[in-house]
Amino acid sequence: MSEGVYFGRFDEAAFADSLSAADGDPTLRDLRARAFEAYSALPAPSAQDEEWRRTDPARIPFERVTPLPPPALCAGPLWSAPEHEVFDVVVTVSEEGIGIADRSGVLRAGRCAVERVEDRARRSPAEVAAVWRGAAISAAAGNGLPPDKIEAFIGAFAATGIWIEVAPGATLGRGILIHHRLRRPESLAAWRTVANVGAGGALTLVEWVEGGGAGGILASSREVYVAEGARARAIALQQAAPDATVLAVDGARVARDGEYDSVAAHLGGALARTKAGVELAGAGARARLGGIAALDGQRHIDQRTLQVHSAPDTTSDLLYRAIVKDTARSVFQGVIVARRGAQRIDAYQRNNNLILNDGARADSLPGLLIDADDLKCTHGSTIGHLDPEALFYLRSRGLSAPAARRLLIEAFAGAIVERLPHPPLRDRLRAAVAEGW
Amino acid sequence: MKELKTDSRLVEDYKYGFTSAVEEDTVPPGLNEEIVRYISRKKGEPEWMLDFRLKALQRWRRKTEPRWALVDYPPIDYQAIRYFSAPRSYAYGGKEGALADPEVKKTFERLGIPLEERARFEGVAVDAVFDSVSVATTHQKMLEDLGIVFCAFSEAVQKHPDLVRKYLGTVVPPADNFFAALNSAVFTDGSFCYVPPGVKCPIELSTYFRINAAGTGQFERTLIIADRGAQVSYLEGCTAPMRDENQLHAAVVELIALEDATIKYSTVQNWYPGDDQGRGGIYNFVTKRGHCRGARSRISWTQVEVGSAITWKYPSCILEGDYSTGEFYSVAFTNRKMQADTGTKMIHIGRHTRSTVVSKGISAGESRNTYRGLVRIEPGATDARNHSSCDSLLIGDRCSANTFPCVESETSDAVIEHEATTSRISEDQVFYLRSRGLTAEAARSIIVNGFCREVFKQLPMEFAVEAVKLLEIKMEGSIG
Repeated sequence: MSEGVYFGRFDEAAFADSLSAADGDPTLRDLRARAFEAYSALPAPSAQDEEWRRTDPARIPFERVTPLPPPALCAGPLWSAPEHEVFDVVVTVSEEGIGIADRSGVLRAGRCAVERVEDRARRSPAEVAAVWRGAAISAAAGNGLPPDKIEAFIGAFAATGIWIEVAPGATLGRGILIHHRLRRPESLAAWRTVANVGAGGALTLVEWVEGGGAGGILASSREVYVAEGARARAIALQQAAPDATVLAVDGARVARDGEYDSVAAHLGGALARTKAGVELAGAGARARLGGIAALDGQRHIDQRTLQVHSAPDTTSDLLYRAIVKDTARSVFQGVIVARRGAQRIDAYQRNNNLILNDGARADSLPGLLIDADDLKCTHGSTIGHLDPEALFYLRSRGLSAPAARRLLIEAFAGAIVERLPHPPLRDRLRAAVAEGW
Repeated sequence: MKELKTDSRLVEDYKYGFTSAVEEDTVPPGLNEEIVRYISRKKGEPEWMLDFRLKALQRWRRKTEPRWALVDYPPIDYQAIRYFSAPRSYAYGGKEGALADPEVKKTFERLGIPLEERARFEGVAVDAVFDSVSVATTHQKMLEDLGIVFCAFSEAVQKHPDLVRKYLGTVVPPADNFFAALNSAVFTDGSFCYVPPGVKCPIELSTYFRINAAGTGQFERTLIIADRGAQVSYLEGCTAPMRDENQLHAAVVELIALEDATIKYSTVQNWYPGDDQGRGGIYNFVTKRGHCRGARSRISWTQVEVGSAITWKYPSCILEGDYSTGEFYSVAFTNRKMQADTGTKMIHIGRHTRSTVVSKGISAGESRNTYRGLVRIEPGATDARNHSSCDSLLIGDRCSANTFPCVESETSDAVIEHEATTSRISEDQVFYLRSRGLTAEAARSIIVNGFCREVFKQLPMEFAVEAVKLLEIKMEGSIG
């Protein structure tokens, strides 16, 4: 038995501590132990690796953080916010605990279930074991993709998780909000979310992350399984503290004639590293992936995306946009994979970057891996600046220079901001993107 | 029966696959200081050239072979390769001796390469390289009158040591990468060209590379310098016999364009690609780089890659001079089990620099065709512009086409655009052409030609015609 390779202080002893702090459901313990095995067996990322060349893994403060204990289940919501009004179910998560509020009675009516994974595992362990393997991206991509150490790390150390189940044919008009507010400094908050949307069902899921204590790590994974003919919308609104580190892994698998629509908005954090993947596993499945990031100061974001077409007649459409200023840096790396037999697919990938001043940096690496022949695969990427002519025009119409800039930046972000279905969150995102530019 | 048909198609397909019974003067396989000294001695090189080689050999020993490209091949035994091979006639009589060797002459005749200045190829000066040595260079007198130096690399080391010393290794330093270091240690021949200030070279300069001997590698070195305001267009062609072993070709090409100079570099690469089972073929691991050193200079690469079992090649431009321009036009065709990982790098350093990338990849059979590119805008490279388009065409459902562009920008006013598409030949277009009386094969050939047109039109006329024909031959039987 060879020595494991660990991130900072997250070794075997730390894992044992983390396990004993949890409530001890044997199914989850076993699944986490397996994830820990995978995590410790994988080599540590280094700046020499092609994957980490642009984002120094040493910037992730694994040395300094301690894991948070799993939050207890509280009755009712922990706090309320005006944005909560527009949802069917609101889950509030903080150091104090997890509160689930059934605002419109969908839980009582049995149209969907929202619970802690511990509680679910106790009732139906086999069902949880089938999904909770700690590999969101691998779930999206199937096999053939190198395992990811960060993903395995989340699988091992995520002390909590939310399990969502939408009954076949049930439609949640307003959707579910998971609202995180974390404040403890130098801590690791790791959690997972799994959503299963039954055949013909529809779900809108919003994960809104605020805070993150100073110098902390927020590590999360989200998996969405879209059954036949079902629809899922998954939105991540990340407004972490300015010196927090964000690690996020999102995956989705879409069955025949299913539809998946995701938006990832990254506005906070000193360093964010995200992976988002979707597998179009059944004929006729469709996916739309959107991303917006706005960065200033010395902030850094590294986003990876994966569109895997493993069934014929599937379509995917990706649009990721980033705005950078000061000495911020954005890295985008996206891949479209067309598996053998994925005929008549249509895949699109577009990355646009807006650099607001010299010294800011954007790297764009779109990629195509094509093994089928009857298809249409296209990608485009641009890196540019605010068009001086457009600025001049707006100023000639009486706008001040800052107002004109703001308007153009809002327009650039607009294509993604508009995809948010809930007006209060849309306004929040729009304001955050345009603020202070 | 089916086997037979495949075989005859193969022969038809690669008509350059013959071997010539030339008596070769060669060294034992292996790479060590002794061999490097032997090559240097054989070429009567001065001390500094030997030094350059030995240092490169040391660097090479410390380097590891790059494996990031999307190509699979078994480990190469670098000690099993012969690093020098020349027609025996060359050893006794030098260039004249080699040219008098009827077998060498016949080889180039069969390849259709004119070694005498014939009327038909009046506009092209040729340097012919047979295994490790240059055997003929035409039109030298006429070029000399203009002050243009165009000769074999080894000849340049003798006759123009100052020029070679000044520029050699300044674009691709010996420590640049594994294969460049290998080449710097053992390079044997290649072309050298210097165009003096203000001179526009009136004819096309070209080099024809031929690998003949078995178990050898070819390591040629090309260095082209266009002085201030000079212009030159250079062509390169390559073929090799059909053998069921893999042969290594690791070349280094350096282009230097000073103020207001223009260099146009075109390649038609048709090394033997191996057979249907993927046996044999050339491993083409090449480092090509141009340096736009002066203001308003321009370097344009055009490549038509239809051969080699494996291609690993990224002709690049370093745009250092203000207002300099870099261009890259490429057609890469892969069939059977061929693998190509090719593309370009455009490094913008100067202000107001421009670059254009047009890449067309066609994959058929069970081949793998990858575009890999980098566009980098350095801080301070204000007003940089780049446009890249990479299109892939797939023929059949067992091949793959991959695109990995990388765009990095550190300035606020750069405009960079990249687009890529992957598709197959449209059934509608084929149907239309068939309805006009064309066979399916002819229709597809026309569509592929149209797909590549943007690149072919960059080639000098004679070569554009050749390229179209070549692609037609290569495509035969690849459509099912």
